[in-house]
Amino acid sequence: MIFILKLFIIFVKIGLFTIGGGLAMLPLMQQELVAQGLMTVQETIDMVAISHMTPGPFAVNAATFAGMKLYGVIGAAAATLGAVLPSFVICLLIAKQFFKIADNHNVKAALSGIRPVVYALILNGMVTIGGAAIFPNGFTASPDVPVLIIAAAAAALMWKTKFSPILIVLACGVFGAIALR
Amino acid sequence: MNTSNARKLLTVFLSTFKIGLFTFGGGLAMIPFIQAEFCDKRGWLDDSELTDVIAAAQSLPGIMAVNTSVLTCYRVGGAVAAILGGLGAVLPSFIVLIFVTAFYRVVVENAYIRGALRGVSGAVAAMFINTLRKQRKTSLTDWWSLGFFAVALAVIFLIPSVNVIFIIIGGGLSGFVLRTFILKKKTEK
Repeated sequence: MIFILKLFIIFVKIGLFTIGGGLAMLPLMQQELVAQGLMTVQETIDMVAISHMTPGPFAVNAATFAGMKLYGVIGAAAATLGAVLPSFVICLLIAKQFFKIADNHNVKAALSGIRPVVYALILNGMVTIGGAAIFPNGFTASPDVPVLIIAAAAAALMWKTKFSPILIVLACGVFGAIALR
Repeated sequence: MNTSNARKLLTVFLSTFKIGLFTFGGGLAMIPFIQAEFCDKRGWLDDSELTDVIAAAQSLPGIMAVNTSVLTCYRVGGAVAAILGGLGAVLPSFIVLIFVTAFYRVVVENAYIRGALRGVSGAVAAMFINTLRKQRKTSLTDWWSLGFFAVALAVIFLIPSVNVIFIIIGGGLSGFVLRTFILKKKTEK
């Protein structure tokens, strides 16, 4: 019970200090888990790989993986609950004010500066996440041609047809499983 | 609670559950899906509101994907919707990871799964292109915003170690100063 509680608190800390991207909390996870002797370095490498290969937010995946490895399903539940708790508490506290003040004209002025910046951040996400998929060996190396073709085809379908994006993603997954294995 | 409200809450939960199940890469990767589901399909949120939510979700402490889900769903149906939406976003990861961790070696070495993941990663790149195309109108409204965009982009790519929060705060402060003090006379005319 004490161990589960300790794990929960570790992940509350990790969840709280994750600001702007799950990978940012990796050093903190290493400090908390490896230095305390809960996980080996190899296990954290596995944790990162598997968290990237599975759907969902990195931090939640990593928390479930670590908890599951350490103390089974109960450990996974404790770690995941700990990781998401700060998000829930903070967002619920500010949500009411956030949408109220979003109408204020000073806030509108600030938002007019924030929107193009966020657009740049999304573009950055496109380059880092999409780019890593199409150029798995770096941008100077040759692209992964089948993935590039899939990306182009999917983009065209999303632009010109009304298929649900999730359906298109699923179709690409099925196609990949058949053609790219 | 009436039936239409209950149905809406269920839809919120199922929407974020679906998004959680099909987004690889977390917070940033889920934005295109949130946009498709909450803005385009359901009309619960407009594109500029979504941009505001993204800015808040990235600047606040916590997991961005959870922040985005909780804030978006709060907008749609208050605190209950926010909690359901947040849980919906997290549950698929939790369930999938329980099984994947239990059968770790087998899953990672499976050729079909590797192929499927490659296919999905291509589609994710396409989702980003789609979102950028759609958000252009609400984000890049005039030459000033285009300038902000260019500066932010330069900072992100040239100094990757800069914390995202400072970039967002910088954009907010400059936007505030620009629209309130410098451009005020123009808009009043």
